[in-house]
Amino acid sequence: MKSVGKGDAKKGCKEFEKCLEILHLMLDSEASKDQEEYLNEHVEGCMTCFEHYEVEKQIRILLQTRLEHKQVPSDLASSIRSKVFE
Amino acid sequence: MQGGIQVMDTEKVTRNKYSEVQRVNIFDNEFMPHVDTMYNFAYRLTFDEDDSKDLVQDTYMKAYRFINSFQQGTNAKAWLYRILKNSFINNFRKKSKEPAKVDYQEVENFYNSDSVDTSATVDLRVETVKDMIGDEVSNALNSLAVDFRTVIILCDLEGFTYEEMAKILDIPIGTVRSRLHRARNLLKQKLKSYASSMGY
Repeated sequence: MKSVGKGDAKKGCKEFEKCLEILHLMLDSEASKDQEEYLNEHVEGCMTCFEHYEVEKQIRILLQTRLEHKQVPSDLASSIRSKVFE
Repeated sequence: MQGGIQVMDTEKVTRNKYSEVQRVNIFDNEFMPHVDTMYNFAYRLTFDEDDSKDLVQDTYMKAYRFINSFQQGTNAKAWLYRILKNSFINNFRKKSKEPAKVDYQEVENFYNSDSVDTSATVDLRVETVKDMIGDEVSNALNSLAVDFRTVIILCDLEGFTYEEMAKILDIPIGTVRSRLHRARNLLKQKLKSYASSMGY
């Protein structure tokens, strides 16, 4: 199967806009059962949407795992409490 | 969504009358556990440690002042996010060190316009995304206008539902979806340009 080249992503799928919308809903856990079934079945035969799904999934994983977690200043909690309850 | 978000500035708010002991109890058990995540959210908005501290402190002071508008046992995290985000807009945005400030209306016009949806033409490969390092990801995220950055943080980092996001941001769910869509496309473009500059 041909991989998706630059600029021709839409060409590989006749319902790309619809798929893209469902794909995001699915990754955000906001898709309905019907939408999930549709896309799961669709990506089995559509390389364009399959690749898009994988890329979008990977970007979410990237955001969740590679961003620096800022260490909270050790005195912040106590300073909040003393300000609020003083 | 799990639990409603009580807001402090609408007439629909149910007012509670918590005793002093109850107030301290709610504050310590429902609000304080979120200091870490609130601080990180603040830092991703302000890019400044001192500003983040001030913003989080300000948020908790307001949360306590309006604690009677909070329904015990509901979604404290979303409630705190809403307060922090409003404080940021009202007090911090002007003086924050954010490099590229984008006017809110300008942002709305931008993604409501008929500009070409570029998502389909951003050709990013899974392998390329997997190879990205933390600096590239955070630079890409930080370069987005604050409204776009915020929806990505709320959705992808904090896992809020669209409905929760709508309440935190005070916008309709449809706007959450379109803003998120736009934000993701912009993020993808940034990641793509990093990838290209690295010769992937």
